[in-house]
Amino acid sequence: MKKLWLWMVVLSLLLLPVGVKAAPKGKVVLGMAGALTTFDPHTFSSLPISMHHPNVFETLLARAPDGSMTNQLAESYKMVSPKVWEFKLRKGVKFSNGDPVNAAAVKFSFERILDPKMKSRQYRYFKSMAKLEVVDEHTVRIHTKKPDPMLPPFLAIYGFIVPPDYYKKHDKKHLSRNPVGSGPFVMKKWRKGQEVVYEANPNAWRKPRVKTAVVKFIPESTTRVSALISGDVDVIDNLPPALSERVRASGKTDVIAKQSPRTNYILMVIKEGAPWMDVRVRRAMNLAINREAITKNVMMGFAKSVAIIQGPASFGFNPELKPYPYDPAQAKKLLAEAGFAKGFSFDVYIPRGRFMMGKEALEGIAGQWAKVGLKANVRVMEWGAMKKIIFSKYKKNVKPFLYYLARMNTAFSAEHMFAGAISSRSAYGGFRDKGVDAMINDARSTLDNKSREKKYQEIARVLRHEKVPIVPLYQTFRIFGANKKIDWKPRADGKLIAAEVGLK
Amino acid sequence: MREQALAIQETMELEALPERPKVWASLWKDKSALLGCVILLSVVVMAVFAPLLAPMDPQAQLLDRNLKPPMWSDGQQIYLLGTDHLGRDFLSRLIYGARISLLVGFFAVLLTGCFGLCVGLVAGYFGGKVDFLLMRLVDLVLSFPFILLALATIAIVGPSLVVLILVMSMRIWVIYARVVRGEVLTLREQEFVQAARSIGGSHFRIIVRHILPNVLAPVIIIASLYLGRMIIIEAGLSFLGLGVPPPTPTWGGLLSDGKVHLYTSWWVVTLPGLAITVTVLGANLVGDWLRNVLDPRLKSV
Amino acid sequence: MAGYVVKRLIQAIVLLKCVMIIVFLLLHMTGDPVLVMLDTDATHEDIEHLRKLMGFDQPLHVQYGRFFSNALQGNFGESTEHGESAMGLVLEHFPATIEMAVGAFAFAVLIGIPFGCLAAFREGSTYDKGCVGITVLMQAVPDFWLAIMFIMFFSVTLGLLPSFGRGGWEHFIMPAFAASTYHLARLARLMRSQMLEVLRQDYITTARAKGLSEKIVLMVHALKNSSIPIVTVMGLDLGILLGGTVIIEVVFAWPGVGRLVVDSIANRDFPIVQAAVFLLASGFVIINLAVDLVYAYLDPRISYE
Repeated sequence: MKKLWLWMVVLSLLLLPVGVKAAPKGKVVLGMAGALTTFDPHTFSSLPISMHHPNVFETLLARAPDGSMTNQLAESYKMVSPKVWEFKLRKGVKFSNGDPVNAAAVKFSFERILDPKMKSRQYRYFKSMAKLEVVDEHTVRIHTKKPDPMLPPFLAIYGFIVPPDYYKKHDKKHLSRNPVGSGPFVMKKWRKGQEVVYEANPNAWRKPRVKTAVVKFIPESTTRVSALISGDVDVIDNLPPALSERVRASGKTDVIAKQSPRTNYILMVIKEGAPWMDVRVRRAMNLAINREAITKNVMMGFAKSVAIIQGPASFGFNPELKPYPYDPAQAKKLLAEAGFAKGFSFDVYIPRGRFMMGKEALEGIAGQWAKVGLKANVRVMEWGAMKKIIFSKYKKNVKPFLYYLARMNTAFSAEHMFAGAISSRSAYGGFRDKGVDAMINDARSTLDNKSREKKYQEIARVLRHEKVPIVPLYQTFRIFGANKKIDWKPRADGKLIAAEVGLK
Repeated sequence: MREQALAIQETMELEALPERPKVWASLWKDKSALLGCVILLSVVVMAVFAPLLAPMDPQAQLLDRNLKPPMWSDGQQIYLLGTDHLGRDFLSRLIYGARISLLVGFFAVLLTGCFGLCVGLVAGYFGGKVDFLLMRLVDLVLSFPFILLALATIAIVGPSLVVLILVMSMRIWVIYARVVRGEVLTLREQEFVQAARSIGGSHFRIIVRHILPNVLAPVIIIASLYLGRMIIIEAGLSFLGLGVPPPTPTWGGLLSDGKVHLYTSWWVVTLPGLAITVTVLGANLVGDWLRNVLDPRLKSV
Repeated sequence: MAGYVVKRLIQAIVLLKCVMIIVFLLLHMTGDPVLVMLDTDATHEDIEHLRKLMGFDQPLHVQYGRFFSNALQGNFGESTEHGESAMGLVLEHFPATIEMAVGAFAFAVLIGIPFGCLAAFREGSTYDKGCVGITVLMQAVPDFWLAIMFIMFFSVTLGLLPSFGRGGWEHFIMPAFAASTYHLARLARLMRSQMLEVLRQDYITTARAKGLSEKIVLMVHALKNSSIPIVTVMGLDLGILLGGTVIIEVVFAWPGVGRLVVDSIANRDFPIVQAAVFLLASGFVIINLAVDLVYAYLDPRISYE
């Protein structure tokens, strides 16, 4: 035993001068809440998938930990004409099986996503693509059907590049379990519902911080915290705010938290017969909520109020807008002016177990609304069942209702949020206004970044001060627990990517 | 064949059935049964008189007073058993929680009792095809994974008190049905039933007059023994998020809301757990006693 | 005998068919799977596009016909979330479920029965009273609450057992025990009362005079005769454990079928749910048949007519 130690010391001394270039060492164990269903990078889209796949695969562009756009497999890119983007690829990059990363691989990968036979759920991010053109070994052009300034943000999330020969040769089932990419890790072993073992990829141009990373899937939050404190795992995600004190108190573990682009808001079905057809009522509903009390006491400080649906990290954020203040007296006055002095009662839906402390926060909000005479019946629904209700919102016999949702703005873009919650084309919004629609369409087709940003800021101002289409609440933090030996900084997009976790 | 086996066993034991002792005397003698009765009665009183007993409105929130510890460890002495994560008085929520937990338990047991009794009576009395089909229905229900049934049903109609009671009843009625049917099978052949039939009594009359009174004992026993189980199942469904929707407090709901405060605010996890355990204990003790007094053969229930 | 088994198997097939129809209808009533497949940034066009691709735009009877003709050939289709054979996935998770069910069952039988017997032998003693008290309490504690407390005590405070997951025996103790508490207590109490009855039989009391070995022989016989309720309860327990340890699986991050099914219902991954229900229901049918055959062994008066 003693000899072994001695050898290890000698070996590590021998390795020391090699410095940064040395192969990564050590092992970290992560406990994550979300389940991973597949390693086929082109079929599905979900947050767990977007946290696992970047370990094994790479995209043309990427988000740096601070949220800014960086290049990954692309060395540079530019807009050649409004409908053509050209990407120069990084040279000398190889997939883990030795195949080169080249223009043909990029063309193949996107064509695989667009192929109807794949039934890909990423299709909607890239549906503007018309064709891909291989210019030379390291240059590829993406032709779009119409100008699409939103393409780069999505290229930084999905669109993983894979080796064509391997993905043509094998069937779907094999590919879903045996990924080959150019990422820092290769997937060594995967037991579904249990764990994934990643091992450093010897061919990678970006080295992971450790040699081995194991991700354990632990759905129950108290168990995740117990596993962290007892030392069974080194990092956990989705730490409930209430358990953060315990993680700090253990002495061996720390809480790592960062505001994420997940905006929580309450949407209203704005249609005939709803008291909130009147903008004064909508404003009153906003003024009756004490956001600070919720973020402080229910979220335990792990949330920050927002003025409209974006956070500061998002493109098009308007820093001049402030969250609605807490003013129950004014709310009562507005309700009386609108003819609802006695208040009214309504249903407000929330999906079960989906948003951090969502049910608790909504119960708190319902309590605050009750103080100005608004009786909210909180209905906790199963997610799929709630979606069904949301989709019935404009039907004639459906009583207008409210619903609590949160959206992860991983594209860091106003466009992504407005299209999903404010535009009348959005499947999940409840607000229809031709003027606002026109403003959103105008902004989306503006190719100049500066003036596009201005337009989005103006939309945010109109929404906050004039239209009041929703009840914006706050952005929640992504909260992690980590052993003190772990060296890791949280990302602005809230993702926990195993390849970025290192040891001190 | 299982029914046949039970029937044979029961006829075998029927002869050896001891004299039924005086009910109330046995309660005084059986100290654990007495304890059970006291527990159950106090919970019922608590539930019925909740508005009088609860010191505060269980719905009233004071967000900046959330998660205050019970008064003996908190200097302010306002909240006897502390507050929950929204600053609501925990004692009041516990007291009101007894209402829903008992309501769910009682109604589930009552509903399943009636339905199971009917199915068992019909199947056992008429026998033949009716019996065969009803017993296959019982098999069908038993072979269906319960949690799945609960998940799917609640996903379809959304969670509510009524749905919860119905979902929980779906599984338990088959137990009554089986036992009652077994009883009826043996009763049917007894002389007094045969006699009633020979003088031309209608089926309905025979069932109600002659058979029903003789199968009520097992139904009462099963009901009392499953009351506790129902309360636990309600808590389990709440834990999976399928329970009675907020703000109605239920013990299961309090427990599942409180579990994240496990390490920091012990009372929100420990107290509802304790309330469930004590109540179920009381219900089980009463059930045991009823069984011993009314029909000691029903051990496997 | 063989004829009886064949008859039972035919009944079982009809039963399973009914189960499958109910599951199919129930699932399709839970709502549109395509809505759950796409996140809230999807537009109506995106949803329609995927619905067509997945074939969910066809009428229900067409979908059912397709499902059923495939299911007849043992093909439950491809999981919509995992992109591989649904039955394959369920079978992959099945060993973990069996491990837990059989483990919990073994705890119940191996601890419950001896404890029940011992308590009966020493009726009225402190040991007996303790046994009765503990088992009554065990039947009253919610198992998931116990599970969380176990983790807090044995993993966090003492550091003795791993807090979650599946692996060696040390991973298995806490979940299996937590899942078995109710069943263990019920079996122990049943065993105790059955044993008491046996001990009170005349021929056992007389046998006491004749010496120990004969007493044991007699007791085994007496037990065999009175064990039908015990076998019934054991059969029920095993069935419940196979299909109902979802909460324990969630708390201990145990990779069993229960968790897979819960996730699949949430994701509206119908093929997996259908395959899993088929497997669990088949398991129930097999246990039922086995229990019936054991009855015949225990009591020859039971015929196979």
